[in-house]
Amino acid sequence: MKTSIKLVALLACMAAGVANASQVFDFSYTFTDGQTLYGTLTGTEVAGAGAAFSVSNISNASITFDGNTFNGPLYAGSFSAAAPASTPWNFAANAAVISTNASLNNFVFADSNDPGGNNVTNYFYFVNGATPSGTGTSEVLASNFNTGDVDLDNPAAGAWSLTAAPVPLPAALPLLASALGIFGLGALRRRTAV
Amino acid sequence: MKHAKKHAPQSRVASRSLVGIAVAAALIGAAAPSLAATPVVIKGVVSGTLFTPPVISNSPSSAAAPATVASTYVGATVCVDLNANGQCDPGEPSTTSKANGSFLLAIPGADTGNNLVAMIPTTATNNGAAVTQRLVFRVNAAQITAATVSPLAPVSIAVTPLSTELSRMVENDGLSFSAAVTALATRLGVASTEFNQSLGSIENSADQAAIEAESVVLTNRWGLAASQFDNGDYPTMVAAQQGAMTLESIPRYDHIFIIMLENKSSASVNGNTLTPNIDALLAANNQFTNYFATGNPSEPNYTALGGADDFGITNDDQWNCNATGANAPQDLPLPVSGSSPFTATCTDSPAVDHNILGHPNLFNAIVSAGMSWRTYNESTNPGQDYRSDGVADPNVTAADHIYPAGTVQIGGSTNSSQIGTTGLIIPMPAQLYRTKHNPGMAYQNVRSEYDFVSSNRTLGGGQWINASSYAGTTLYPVPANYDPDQFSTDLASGNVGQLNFVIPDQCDDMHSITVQGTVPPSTTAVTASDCFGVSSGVNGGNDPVPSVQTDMIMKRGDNYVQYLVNKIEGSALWQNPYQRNAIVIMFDEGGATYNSSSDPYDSCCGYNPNNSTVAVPVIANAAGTVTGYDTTGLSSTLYYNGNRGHGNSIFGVIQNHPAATGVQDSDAYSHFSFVRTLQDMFGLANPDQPGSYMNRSKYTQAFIAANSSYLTEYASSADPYFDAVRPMNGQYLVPSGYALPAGYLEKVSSDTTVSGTPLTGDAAPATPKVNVWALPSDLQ
Repeated sequence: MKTSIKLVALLACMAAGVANASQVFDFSYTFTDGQTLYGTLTGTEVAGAGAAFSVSNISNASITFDGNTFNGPLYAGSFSAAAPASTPWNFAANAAVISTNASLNNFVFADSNDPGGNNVTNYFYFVNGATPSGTGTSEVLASNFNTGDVDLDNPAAGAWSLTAAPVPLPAALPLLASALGIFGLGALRRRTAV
Repeated sequence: MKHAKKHAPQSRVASRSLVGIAVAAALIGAAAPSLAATPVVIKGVVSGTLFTPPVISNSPSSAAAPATVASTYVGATVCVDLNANGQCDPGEPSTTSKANGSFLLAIPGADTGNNLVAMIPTTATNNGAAVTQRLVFRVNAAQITAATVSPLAPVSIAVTPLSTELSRMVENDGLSFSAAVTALATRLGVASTEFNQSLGSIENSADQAAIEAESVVLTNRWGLAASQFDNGDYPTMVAAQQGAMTLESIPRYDHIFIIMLENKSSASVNGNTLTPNIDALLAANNQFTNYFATGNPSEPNYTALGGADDFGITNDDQWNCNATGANAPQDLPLPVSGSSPFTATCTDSPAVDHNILGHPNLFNAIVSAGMSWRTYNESTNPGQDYRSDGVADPNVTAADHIYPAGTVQIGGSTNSSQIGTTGLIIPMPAQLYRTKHNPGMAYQNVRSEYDFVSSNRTLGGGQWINASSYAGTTLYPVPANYDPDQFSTDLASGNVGQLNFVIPDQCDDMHSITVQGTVPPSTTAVTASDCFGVSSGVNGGNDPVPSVQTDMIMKRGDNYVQYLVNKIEGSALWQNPYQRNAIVIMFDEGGATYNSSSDPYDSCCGYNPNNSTVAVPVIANAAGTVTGYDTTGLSSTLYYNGNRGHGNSIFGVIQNHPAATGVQDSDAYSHFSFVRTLQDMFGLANPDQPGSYMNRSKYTQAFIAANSSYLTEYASSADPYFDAVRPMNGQYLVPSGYALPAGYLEKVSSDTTVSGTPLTGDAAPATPKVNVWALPSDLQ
């Protein structure tokens, strides 16, 4: 009985650790003409309605578009229709909204946090509401100026995916070890008590 | 979308781009030095028009109207024009327009500030239709800048014939991009916001129609540019596109109004005290001083003005004369009903078919290029068929023109008594309108053209037919909403043609007819004041100082010319600061006799020299090689009787925006030269293709020399330069390998004689002449 209680406590502990800790997420977008973009980022899951969630505290983003990886590091930000037209982005912390629900997305990844300057060589955005082009209510654009790869969906009618990345084995080992340690410590105490 | 071609390593273009950046930075200052280098994603479309030409046919049932729809081009290569040569070159960032004409193009920061180019090959399609002539459209870099919302947002760009024109204007006319947009929008009468979008997306229907019409014309010009570039005429496509706007140095005009007068030599008008208005207009504007008719009497001259040949017609008879069998009129029914004087059968001598079938002409050519023509005819009977002469109408009357004593300068004094009869009531006379003076009338395929009826329109200002005077007519059913002065209406709306013949009646054009009335209650016939008078040959046709009141028709014609000029110059289109419009004041013929051994220079420039009896029209391919004789639609072998001129007459040019005034070009030109000039002016032929010019307008010195075995009428030419056609550009065009003889003097007609002293032409080519048609630099 005590063992069962401890196991439940262990699983709860692991679950809590997954829900609140920074972790890696996979995302991808397939444009309506079939061109694909995928990437990863590190962030913290924030529960949304139902099974949906979004990610905050984004860092370490990496994007591959049409087989070519964007220059990094990439900054994450958002678009704002209320901002001046010449600087509609906001690269403040947690400004970007990246969600499993595509209709909530409002983010841009760029290799410069000053896109108006002469620094951007690649970027990817997914915006709902007031679009950067001023047309429609959703828009996705990816462009790599180093390779010439570019694609645009307006509206954002392609396939969007955001998932928590499977925890790789080396990363799971400490957790397993700690779990085993709990069990081991319990067993040792039982033996000592006997 | 992945680029069809990846752009080159940046080092390949870096030096040029860096220079561009530096220049841009210097120009715009330190306030925004990095904007020129901000990368841009272009969300574009290659758009234009799909023009389906009219079906030109001798048969009205086979003829069909043209159609124009907004279109998109699929399969066009769109690139950043890094080296500014107007083409897509290897290494320039590029992509291909997709099935809906759209494209995406990522332009790195180092490559911004350059124009876009869309190369449309013959493998591309235009709304699904094959592209038969490759095209190059362009976008000025400033159009991209103007359309940029934010650095990361895609920039919507329409690559169209009009964006190309804006680029050309920026490069050639010295305009900023915004000034070019204003100029083009003002010229077309559309909103300045209409240009950067697919033509099918323009919501304002009037704007869309105007822009589509311009797109058709420009597409033709850009096709000419590509053709001429591919022929090696120009070093770059940019230069070729500018060249396509000035074919043979004749600039593109928006509208031309050709006011036709009758039967007066240059000497009859120059210095004539009865033509002070015309003389003042000539002095204040520009003129060709050595211009020749090509036939006699009227009908061959008007026919030649319509298509550069009179086809052997040597009289003024009905257009169906001797037109039988295969050459019989096809535009049936004939206008023989009601009050029409037209007769179904007409034979005359010499038996030359007056109904010309299947030959090219300006009217067919204009509509086939997406433009329109008008023939404005004064004093037609309300409701009449334009294929029939005007008839007398006793129910339409007018008062005599009264010239009080002391108001008319006649020679060295003014009239001592009133000219004209007070109280005279004059019924509308017959033959104020004559089909012989309608320049498209002899051409079967013009009378069968889809728009023949609608393109023949009324011209007001006459003595009998005006808004209040025609109500009593019963000759023909008068159409609802009949407009007795469609010319004024069209000038007000801008709905004139690109090519407009303005044909006064036979009183106002100085021709003369019998006009009589009565002073009630008397029934005695009294002749009107100013329609009986001098005609060609009367007073020798060379009387510069009339001394008799019978010459008053010249005063009348002079007044009417001023009326027309005032009306045109008062129109919004004439006052449009960016439209290029011209008025021509000319006569169909002078007063000299046919050329002969004693008087050999009464015609020129494509005419039948030396009274040759072997002249036959020829068929030539585009390259200018004659492949045979062309007697299509000609029932007679008497063709050689035609194309013999009738001396010099004035040719004045009034422009709303002339490059200069007081310009005189004394090189020899003829109706054939004028038709060639009009083909250049409206882009109807390709100078690289000598055979593309219609009929005898292709008879340049080079063409004649290259086809001498066919053109035996020129075999004994005494002056190959004088005998050949040239565009009216003042440049003494002589073919390669030929030079004007030393001491060459321009030939002038005997009827340029003034008081017995023949005028002599300028020594040529003493100095290059000034192009009468030249435009100011910002309108070229």
